[in-house]
Amino acid sequence: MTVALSELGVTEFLTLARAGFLPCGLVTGSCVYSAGSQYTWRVHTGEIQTLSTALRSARMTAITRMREQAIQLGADGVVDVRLEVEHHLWRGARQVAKCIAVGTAVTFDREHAPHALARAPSLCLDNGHPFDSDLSGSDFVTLLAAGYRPITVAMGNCVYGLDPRTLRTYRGKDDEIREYTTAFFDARELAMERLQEDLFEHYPRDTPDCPTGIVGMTVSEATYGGSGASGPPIVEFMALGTAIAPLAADDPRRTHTRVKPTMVVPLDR
Amino acid sequence: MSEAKIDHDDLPVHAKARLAEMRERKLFTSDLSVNEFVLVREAGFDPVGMVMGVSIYQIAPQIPSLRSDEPGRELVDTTKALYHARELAMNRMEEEAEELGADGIIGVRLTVNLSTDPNRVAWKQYRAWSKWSSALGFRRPMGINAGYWDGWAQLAAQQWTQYTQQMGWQQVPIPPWQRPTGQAAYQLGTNTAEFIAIGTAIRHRTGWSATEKHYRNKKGKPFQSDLSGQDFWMLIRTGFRPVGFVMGNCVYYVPPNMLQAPARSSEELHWYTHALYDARELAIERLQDEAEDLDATGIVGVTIAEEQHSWRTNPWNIGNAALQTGEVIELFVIGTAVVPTESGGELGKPQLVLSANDLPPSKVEGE
Repeated sequence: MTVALSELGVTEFLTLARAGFLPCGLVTGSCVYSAGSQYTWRVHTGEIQTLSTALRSARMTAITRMREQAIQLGADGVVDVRLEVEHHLWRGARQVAKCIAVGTAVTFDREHAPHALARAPSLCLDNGHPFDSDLSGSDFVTLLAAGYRPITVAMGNCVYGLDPRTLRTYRGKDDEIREYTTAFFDARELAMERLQEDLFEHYPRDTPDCPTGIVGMTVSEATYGGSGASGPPIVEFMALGTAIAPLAADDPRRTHTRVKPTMVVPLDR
Repeated sequence: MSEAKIDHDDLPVHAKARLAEMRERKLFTSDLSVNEFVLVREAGFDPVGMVMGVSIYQIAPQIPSLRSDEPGRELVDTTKALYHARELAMNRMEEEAEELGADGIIGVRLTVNLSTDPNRVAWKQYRAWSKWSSALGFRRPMGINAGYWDGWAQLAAQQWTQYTQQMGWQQVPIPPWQRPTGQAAYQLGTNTAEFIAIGTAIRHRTGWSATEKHYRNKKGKPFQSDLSGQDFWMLIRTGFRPVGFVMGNCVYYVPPNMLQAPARSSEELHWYTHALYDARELAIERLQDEAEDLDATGIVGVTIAEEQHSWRTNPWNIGNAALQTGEVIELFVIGTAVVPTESGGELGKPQLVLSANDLPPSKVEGE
C-alpha cells in the first residue's frame, strides 16, 4: 500500500476531494547554484545580467525537478507550489543561491468523484505533463468553477545594481532622483516582461495550452546576497503568478450558477 | 495643490515593451486573488494587466528656527514634496493603464519604502548586535548606551572574532547582525524614500452602453481605487462607481519645547494637540478638494495615517531625535471617491464582516 503525503489542511483536503481531486504526494525540487564571487560586482546603475541568469536558472531547475517527481507519481497537477531562495556566502566570497520548490501533487479520482464530474477530461497539459500552480486548494477549485484551469507557475526576475555616486548631485534638494526611479521602475518592468516571454516560449500561441492570463501576480524584492547595509545596493525583483487558460466549453466543471462572493479576511495587505 | 508636470514620455523602455506585448498576445496579468478575479468578472469587467508606477524621491526638510514662544507650523515644501512623490508614482501607473486602454485600476496599493535610510539600517544592526551580545553574556563597557555610537561596530567586530575563535571556526562568517534579511534593506541615501503604486487595470467588457457612457472619470482618465475585488463588486452592485483615488497630506513641525509639559502639573500639551489637529484638518480639507474636483458625491474607505517621518534621526540620539530637533509629523489621508451610476442598483444586505486588517491597503508602510 502506498501512502500519499501532503501539506494540506483538512479543509483544503476536503475542498479538493469534493471536486474529485486527491493528493498523491508531496513533491519537491531543489537546486544549489553558484553565482560567482561577490567582489566582482560592479556598482554601475544597471542590470547585473550574470546574477539575473543565475537566479533564473536556479529557480527553473528546482521547478523542473519538482515537476519530474509529479510525473513519476502520475499526477494531474501540482497545487500550492512555494518557491524559496536562500543566499549563502561560502568560504567567505563564493556567492551561492539555494532554491527549493515544494508543492502538493494532486490526481483526479474518477471512481470517487461526484457523479456529474465523472466524465470530466483530465487537466493534464497537452504534452501529458501535470500542471503546476501556486494557488491554494480552495482557490484552485474556485478557479475551475469559474471556467479556468491553471497551466503553470509563471516567473521572471531581474537583478539590478545602483551607483551610489549618483546621489552627490542631489545633495540637500527636495527632488526626485530620476536615475534611481528609472532604474527600479525598469527593473520591475523587466521582471514582469521576462515572465511573459518565458511563458510564451514554453506555451506558444495557437497551442491548446496557450495561457490567457495570470492571476495572483506579485512583484517582490529582496536584497541580493551580501549587499545591503554595507555593500552597494543590489536588489532582485521577482514577478510570480499562476498562468491560466479557459476550460473546454463542455467541461462539466464549469458551474453555470452565479458565483457567490465569499467572506474574505485579507491579512496580506 | 497639484502643480506636478505630467510628462507623457515617462515610462521606461521595458514598460512599453511589456504593455505592447500584453496587448498583442491578448494576455492579461493581475495581482487579484482568484476570488477577486471571479468577482470582478461578475461585475462586468475584465482585468487587462498589472500596472505600476515608481518614484524615488529625496526629501530634505528644512527645520525652521522658531522663537521659543512660537508654536509649530506646516512645512509647506516638505508637504509638497511628499505629495509630488506619490503623485508621480500614481501618474505613471495611470499612464500604463492608458497604454492598455483600461477603464480603471483597482486594488491600488501605495507604499512608501523608508527602509532605505542608512541611519535606520545602522540602528537595526546595533539592536541586533546588542541582543546577540547580551544573550552570550559579553560584558558591555560603560557608556555604550549614550555616547558610544561610533565605537559599537568596532566592539562588535572584536566580540565576533573572539566568539569564532572560541568556536574553533577557521573561516570567519558574516556576523548575524550583518546578514541580509528577507525584506529589502539597502541604502539609497539619507532622506531618500521609494514610492510605489501598484494595481490591476480593468476594462468593462461591453465598453460603452446606452445607460453608462464610460467608466473613466471626469478628466477622461482611468479611475483609480484602493478597493479590493470584493469591495469593488459590492460597490458596483449597489449602484456606485469609483471615479478616483483622492488624497491629502500635511507635514507639520512641532518644536521640541512644545513636546514637553511646561510645569510639573498634569495638563494638556495644547500646542501639540493643536498642531496635530491642524495638520489633520488641513489634510482632510485637501482630500475633499480633490474629491470635489472630480464631482464625486462621496468618499469611501478613507484612512488617516499619522507618520512620524524622522528623516533627521541622528545616531547620537539613539533613535529619538524628536526631543532635540522637534517632531516632523505627516498626516496622510486617502480614499476612493465615488459617484452613483445612472443605472442604479439594489442595496445589498449587510453582511457579517470580520475586520482583521489593521493595515488598510493604502496605509503607508514603514516605521
